[in-house]
Amino acid sequence: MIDASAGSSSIFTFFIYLILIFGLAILSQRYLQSRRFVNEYFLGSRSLGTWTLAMTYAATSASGGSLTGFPALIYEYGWILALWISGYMVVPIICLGLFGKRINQVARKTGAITLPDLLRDRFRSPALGVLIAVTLALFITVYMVAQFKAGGLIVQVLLQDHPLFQSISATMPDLWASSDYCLALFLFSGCVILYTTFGGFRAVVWTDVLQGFVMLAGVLLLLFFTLQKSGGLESVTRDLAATQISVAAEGNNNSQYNLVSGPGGDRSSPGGFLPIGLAISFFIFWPITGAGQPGTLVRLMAFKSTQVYRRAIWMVSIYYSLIYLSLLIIFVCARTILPSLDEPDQVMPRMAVAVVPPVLTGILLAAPFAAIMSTVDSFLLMISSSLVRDIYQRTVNPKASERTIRLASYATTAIIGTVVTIAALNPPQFLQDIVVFASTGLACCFLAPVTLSLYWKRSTTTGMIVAVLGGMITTVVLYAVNWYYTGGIGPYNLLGIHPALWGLLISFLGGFIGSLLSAPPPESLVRFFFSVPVTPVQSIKANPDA
Amino acid sequence: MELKNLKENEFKDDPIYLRSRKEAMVAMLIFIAAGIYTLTFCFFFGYYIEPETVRTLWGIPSWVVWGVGFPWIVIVGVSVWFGAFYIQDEDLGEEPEDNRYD
Repeated sequence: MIDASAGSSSIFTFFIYLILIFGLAILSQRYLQSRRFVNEYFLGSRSLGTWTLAMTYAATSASGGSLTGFPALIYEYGWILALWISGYMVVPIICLGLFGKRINQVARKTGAITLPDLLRDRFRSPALGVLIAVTLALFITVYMVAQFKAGGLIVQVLLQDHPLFQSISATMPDLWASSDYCLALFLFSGCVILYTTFGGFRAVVWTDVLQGFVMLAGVLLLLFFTLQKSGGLESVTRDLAATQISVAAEGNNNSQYNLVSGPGGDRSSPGGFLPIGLAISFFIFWPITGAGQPGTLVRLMAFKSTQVYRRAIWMVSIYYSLIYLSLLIIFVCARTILPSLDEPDQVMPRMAVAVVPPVLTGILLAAPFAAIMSTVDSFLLMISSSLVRDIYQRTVNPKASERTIRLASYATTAIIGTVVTIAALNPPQFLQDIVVFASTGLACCFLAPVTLSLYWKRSTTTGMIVAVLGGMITTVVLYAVNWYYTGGIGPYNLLGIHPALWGLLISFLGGFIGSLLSAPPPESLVRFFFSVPVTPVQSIKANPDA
Repeated sequence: MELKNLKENEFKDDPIYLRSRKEAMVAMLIFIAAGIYTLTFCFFFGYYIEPETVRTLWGIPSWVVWGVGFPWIVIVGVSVWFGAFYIQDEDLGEEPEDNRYD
């Protein structure tokens, strides 16, 4: 519940925010009218500048989990979350630095607009393009259902006490969920579907910039007021040190864990919250799975020059350090400020109300909303591009007119958004686990094919198909094993190692072995992507004697 | 002269490909170095210690400051070096004008 003044501030901020977002979508639509449609709608005409590249990458990567799930974990387990999130220190260098320049160059050579486009052209294989497009659409759809539900819940918290919201909600039937949630979900999804459909990639990127700043402003404001209210970090840490967590170890004595050192207590796990093996897995998990996310890869295909890309690396690095280190301090303090929260997932809005003057509460409550919105709009467009560009335009109807493609793009974006909204009316439980499952699946399917296709001349179509299928099957099997034993969605950590690392291992091995066992790629193909003439072609053309 | 008419010895490895690969390897080395330092330091100084013996710096457990905060700040500095000075600017080329698909 939000008190009256904070509620008014929230609603005011929410509507200002929506007006800005739709303003940006209208501006984007004007660009769409004057440029090649597919290139502009799905890739912004490959013209991202420094701020847009940095902020769209940062905002898209930071999903709702960063401002809801992560704070809840800090609240529950204390300072050990510093190590859990520490892999983020190298996320910008790895996610942008591994592929940025090379993927952008290859995409320019082929005119590729989407990830399936790129791999299809790199190997001249329509089958590979369709496999990548279908795999991508499946995992992203699963991911989006969870994010839509999170978005609906935040809008519900923001608006549920307002008389207008209550009066509309009262007229609605309870579908699978309460009418309050359904109305909030319709509002959230309606906004996202409208501006994404209308404005395309450019609208998504511009709104990401706005959302990135909203998140940063919200987190820094909260840090300032939290430090004022907490009475000092020293006393907070001493309070945490006095909290002991007793965990029943298998068959014998209880183990005692605390909130100021590792591995941290987890009542469901005798080894503690973060045994060192799992800490190693997470340090690798964040940067490596991040590098394989299609949302990141598409953005790297869209920047306009290497100057832009170079600046974006250090800007994102500074941005992440401000966001994640601040969140760590804020929600460690939350344990002292709000000592007995029943639902840690609500710690962000609760802290906003508890420590910040009501007039500023709206900005803080808009921050997680912005985080979710900036992720789902990008993913919505990616599914649409997979279906329209990679399956319809390049496989089913290569001669489709621009008008047909335009209508198909608008319709597909709107229909996919509507289908995901309907699924989110009655989503499965374990939402955070679903998000991790989908992220794992995406990275395991795409990281190896992208790495090998960009940097290994001997890679072949067969190898890439084995890599995609190997990564997908490993992820699904390890989650299915966990389902079989526990009945819930979660990772089965074979030998204490997260499925993401197993999936990547199998995918890379499959890519290598499949390539080496198949016929080498045609010389002309390798030459096109990996070689240049000793004498530049322009000078050969310019020299009539050549 | 057409590109396809050139002989094999008239081609060399694309310098952008070679430099991108080198930059990617440097990025991986930074990642590995950060991982070894952070995980080793935190394991030896931040695990299985009695809560009352945890030392603090600015109110934060010192293993967090030196094991996570310090390398994080160093990596931000390394990112500035990597982005601003190490990666070379290149002309990544233009898209083909005759893109038959749109």
